[in-house]
Amino acid sequence: VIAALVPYNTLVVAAAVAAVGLAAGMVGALAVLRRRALAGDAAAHGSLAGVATAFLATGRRDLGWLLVGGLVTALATLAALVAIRRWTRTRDDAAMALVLGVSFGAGVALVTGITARGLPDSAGLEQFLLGHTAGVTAGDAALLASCALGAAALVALGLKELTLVAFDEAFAAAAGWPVGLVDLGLVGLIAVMVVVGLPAAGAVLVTALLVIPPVAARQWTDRVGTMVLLAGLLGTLSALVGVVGSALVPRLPTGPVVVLAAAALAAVSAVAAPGRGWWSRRAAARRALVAWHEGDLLASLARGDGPPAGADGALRRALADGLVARGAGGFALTAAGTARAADLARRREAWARILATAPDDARAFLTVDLPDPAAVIDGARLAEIRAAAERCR
Amino acid sequence: MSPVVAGIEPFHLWNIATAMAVAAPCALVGTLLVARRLSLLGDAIAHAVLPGIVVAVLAGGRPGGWLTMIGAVAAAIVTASIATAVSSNSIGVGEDAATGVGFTTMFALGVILVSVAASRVDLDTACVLYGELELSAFDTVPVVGLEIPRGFITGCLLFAGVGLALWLTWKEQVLAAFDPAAARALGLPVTGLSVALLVGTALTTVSGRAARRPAPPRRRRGGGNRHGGRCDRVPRRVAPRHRCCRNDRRRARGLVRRGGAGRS
Repeated sequence: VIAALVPYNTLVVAAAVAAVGLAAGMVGALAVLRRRALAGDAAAHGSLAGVATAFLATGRRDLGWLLVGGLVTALATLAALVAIRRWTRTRDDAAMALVLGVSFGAGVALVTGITARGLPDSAGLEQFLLGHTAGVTAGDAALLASCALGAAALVALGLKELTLVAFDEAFAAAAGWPVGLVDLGLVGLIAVMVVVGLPAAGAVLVTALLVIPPVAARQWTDRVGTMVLLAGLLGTLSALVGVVGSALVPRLPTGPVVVLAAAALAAVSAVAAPGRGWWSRRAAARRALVAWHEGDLLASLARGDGPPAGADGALRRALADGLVARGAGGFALTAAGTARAADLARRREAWARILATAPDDARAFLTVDLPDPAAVIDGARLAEIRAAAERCR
Repeated sequence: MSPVVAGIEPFHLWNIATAMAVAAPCALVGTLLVARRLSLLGDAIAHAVLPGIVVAVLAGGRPGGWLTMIGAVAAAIVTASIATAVSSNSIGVGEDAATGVGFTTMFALGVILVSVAASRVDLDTACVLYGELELSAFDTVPVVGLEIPRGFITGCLLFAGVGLALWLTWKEQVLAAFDPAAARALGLPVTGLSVALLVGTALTTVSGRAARRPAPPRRRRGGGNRHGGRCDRVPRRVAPRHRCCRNDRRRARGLVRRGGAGRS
């Protein structure tokens, strides 16, 4: 039924880009966590030299050989990146810029040399990095889909090791994990993704699909497995939105629309995601402010002072909650309010002690809603802190 | 064109001089970028200025003129703002991912603008990735009777401007790069310093595009080619669509042949 409604070409393009979106999202999630988000960009630019070399070696534009050549130099570029990081003191960003610049320079030099000599069949070689999303064939789509499935399977297999290296490289190395090998595995996956996706998607689209869906997925979850899956889903979704959008509106190029769709998804995630999103953080900050004002109000009323200035909202809430009653001489605490004020005073006191003797623990566990220290800090550690506080006294 | 050394023409030397003049300010700005762990910002900006340039050209700007320069710098600032917003703690990803989000989005926006306004803006996306440094020697302006390539002059001016700006604010820039918290506590305008560095980066990245326009016998424009570091891939405006690179090269071959040093 779908095939009857949608043009065949759109269907093929959608399948191909969706496959790239799925796999790039999953691989990209780990790349982003490993701070290698732009490794895909480096791999894409590094592949140009290999494409040019493969063309020189075979003398014709056979897509298979061009991709093999591109894969070889893309892998070499990323291996150089890993080696620079491992054996020099260069930092990630500088190492990335270094390998990107050098490998892309070599690629441009080779391609310019080839096209300037006007070798037969060489026209358009310099467009390799741009990709032709609309020109994808069913064969390409099948290749992309199988590679995407392979990449997804590899990510699932190595998820534990990849996660460990991404979050705590030093611990992984100390515990005897082959960090370099795991790193090579990750950049290898990135390189395969990029080179396979290049003809269909172009360098910038592949980079975008490696980076933006994971950033969007990061907003919704703190679990790596969930983030990987979600990034794959969001990548697929933005690919489909982009393909449909560019099919509906004339003259709209597919690749950039996919990127904008992904960016829109990321923006929505950053605003609306529960927990991390802007809206929910704003709401949490507002709640915290109200709680803080309520604490001030109850403390002030317990001392026998009137309600403090600027606590009108808290006062209304306390009245509604039955903590405060309007008496003859102004506002007074009810029985529940007195109990709560005492509890709050006890917690403020406890945290003040912890802050004075163990500021690191306070920093780690103290939130603005002032939880009971016993509920958030480990019992043994709390006893230690109390003992230290006693000694100080 | 009389050969200086056998096989080497004056324009070869001008090419080398232009490359040096454009590389020098890159290195000045680049040092601070590396110190700030923003090595890939130049790469990102080179992509991200595209929508700014397209809008400026649509607004009547001359390619390489002040309006496009302003458009490019504005686009760079927008990109950096996106990157800064994304790299804030609440989003939970690193600067590299933030940069990736910023520049891919802006570049996609630029490509879409070009496609939608194709009848009014001629821009070959292939030429965004490649340039022709070797043609820069043919776009000259007369200076006291000497024909000097435009790119060389722009590079030198930029080197002087960026050099002066850095010389005046070096201490502040270094402090802001290594310890922004301390710089802010001392009352330094850290955001202002970052924006200044960003503008410097954007100007450095874009100037090549503006400068490396070969002399237009038929309104044809080429761009710069920088094969290294952050300064590669300079977007440029060209006409006619899809043909600039090859035609420029054909013309280059023609010129080289006339000069007697050609290979074909």
